[in-house]
Amino acid sequence: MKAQPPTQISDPCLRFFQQPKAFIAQASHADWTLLLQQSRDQALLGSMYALCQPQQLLALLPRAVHDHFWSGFVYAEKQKVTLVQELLELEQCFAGANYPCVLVKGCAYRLGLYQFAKGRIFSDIDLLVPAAHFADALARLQDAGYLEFEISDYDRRYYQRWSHQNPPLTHFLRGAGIDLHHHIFPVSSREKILVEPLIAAAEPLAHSMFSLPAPAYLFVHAAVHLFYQEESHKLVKDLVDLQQLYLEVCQRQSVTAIVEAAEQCQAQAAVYYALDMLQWLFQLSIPAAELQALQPFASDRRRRYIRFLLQQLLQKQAFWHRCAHLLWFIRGHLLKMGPATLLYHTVAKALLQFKLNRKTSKEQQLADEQTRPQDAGQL
Amino acid sequence: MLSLTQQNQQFVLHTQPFRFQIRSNSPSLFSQVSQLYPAPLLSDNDDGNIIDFVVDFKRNILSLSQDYAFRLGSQHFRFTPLAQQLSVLEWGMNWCISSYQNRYLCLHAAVLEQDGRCLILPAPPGSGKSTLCAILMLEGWRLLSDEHCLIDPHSGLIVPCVRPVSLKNRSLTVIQQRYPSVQLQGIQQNTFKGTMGYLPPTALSWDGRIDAVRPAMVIFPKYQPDGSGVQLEAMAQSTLMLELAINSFNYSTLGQNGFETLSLLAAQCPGYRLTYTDTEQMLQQLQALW
Repeated sequence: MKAQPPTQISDPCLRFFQQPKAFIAQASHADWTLLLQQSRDQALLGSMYALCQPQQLLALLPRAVHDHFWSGFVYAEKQKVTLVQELLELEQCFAGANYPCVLVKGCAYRLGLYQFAKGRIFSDIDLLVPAAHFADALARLQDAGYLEFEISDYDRRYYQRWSHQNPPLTHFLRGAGIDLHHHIFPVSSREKILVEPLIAAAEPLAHSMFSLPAPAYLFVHAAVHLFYQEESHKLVKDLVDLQQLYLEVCQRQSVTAIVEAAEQCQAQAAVYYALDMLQWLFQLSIPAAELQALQPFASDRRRRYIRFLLQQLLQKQAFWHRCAHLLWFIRGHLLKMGPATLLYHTVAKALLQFKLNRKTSKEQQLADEQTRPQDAGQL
Repeated sequence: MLSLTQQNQQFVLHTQPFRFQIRSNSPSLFSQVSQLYPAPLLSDNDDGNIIDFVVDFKRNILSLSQDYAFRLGSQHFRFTPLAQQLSVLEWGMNWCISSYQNRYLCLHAAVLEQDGRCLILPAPPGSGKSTLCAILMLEGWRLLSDEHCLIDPHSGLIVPCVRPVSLKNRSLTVIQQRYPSVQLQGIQQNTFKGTMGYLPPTALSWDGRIDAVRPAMVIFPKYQPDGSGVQLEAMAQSTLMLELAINSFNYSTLGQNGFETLSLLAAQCPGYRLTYTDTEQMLQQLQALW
């Protein structure tokens, strides 16, 4: 299938990642301003620094841009140290566990020494265990002080009934966050994606209780995550991740390995949309044979719909830009839970959000009262 | 010439080392800001500079609430009623700097310069740091910052971050009584810190806003209303380093760079605790020490 280049995509972060040299050569002060704001919002400042460094582009950046990229990189480096410290704690926590404990997503990119993980920020540690051992893993984490904070009863039920993970856990002293998963995709979904092959093919980390997904499975997971999720606020980061992950997986294994992993996980459709999107958005040349092997599992209507939404989402001036956020949200939720559940969920969430806003506002007032200096009002 | 409509104000604050663009639909924000910052530091948008932080300070017209929200991209900082917008804008800009910059090691401290050397005044809230900072500036010292002591890890110099000195509650009275001719600006009642007011930097301070300075001394001030006289206590280098780290926004984030920068500072600058009740005595003691 012939890919049409996305001529209208103006997102500054994507443009920078696509062709950093060209961006630097052509950027106006307004382009740089926009790039800085978007990169900060997408948590991509550190990744920008890491992208420029090996290509000797740092010296070509305006001073202010260089300093902000550097700020993000410094933060990511600190996060790396914190990750290692936290993993040492988790090693003890899972000592003697006789089931696979697989670290996935951002933390796997870091520990797997992927190039693109340099400067990359991740929000928490994502841990995947087989469903049969989920309760044991949760108990171990809770015993070690990783607890659930500030979650409504509805949200807890949501996680337990429809999601593929426990509500986020936070260590009560260190503040480290862990998402414990038993699947890579919500159990309420009509899609029957399998997680077992990913766990079976995971590669153990040396001298550790933990393992990492094989490269091809990391890509499958990222593709599933991107195309079945409802959130669009970190979309650019996800797209950039996927592109760089693809390039590195191809170096470590091959495109064929990605297709095989997709077949094993029954995630051919997601991987097809991902590869198609990479070809279209980043002009990557994906072997036609591999795409053809996956195509029968995907729908051309859905592929075009995804492209349309991405084009709108990545283009702030686009006519359907705001609408596309809502459509992306609905699309992701529908894939996860089906229409009836989605309707129920939407109404329940709207009510909860209203209640939460009032509660937050009251709490803010209370906290303000308590932190008011003793001499307040004296003039 | 600024062309700002009432409904949609957009302006740039050319502070150093970070520029802010404020996009607001508050009818009065710009006029309040222009009382605190001199005209050459304020401009409309398109003047050829890269903006570090683009801030939205807007009221959602669809919302029932009358509050304005300070946002940096998708990050929300705080809601505020119109009457306290100036304080929340200033706090919000402080929050941008303390949350998102790691180019400099940033201490929560006031910094002032005299004779080409600078004095660092770190202190927790309530210790009278800003009041002392305001007094020193009005006594002729050059203000580098009353909030962010930015240390450049490459040079060890302090980079100015000149903004209005924020004063609250009794400090406002103290400054007004001591310097009756000084005009305090932007008085905002009933904020969560009480009454806030701002002392614009002196011309000397604005003029030196890009001139970095070598640090010479660290003093932890503590105003004690019920004590007597002045107590000065020299700090051990190790204690000084630890206390500076505690008063830093990003010491641990900077890792080895943070450690080396702070070690150098603690080795080069003597550190003191200065507890005082009488301001005149304290100033004499400070000049003698300097």
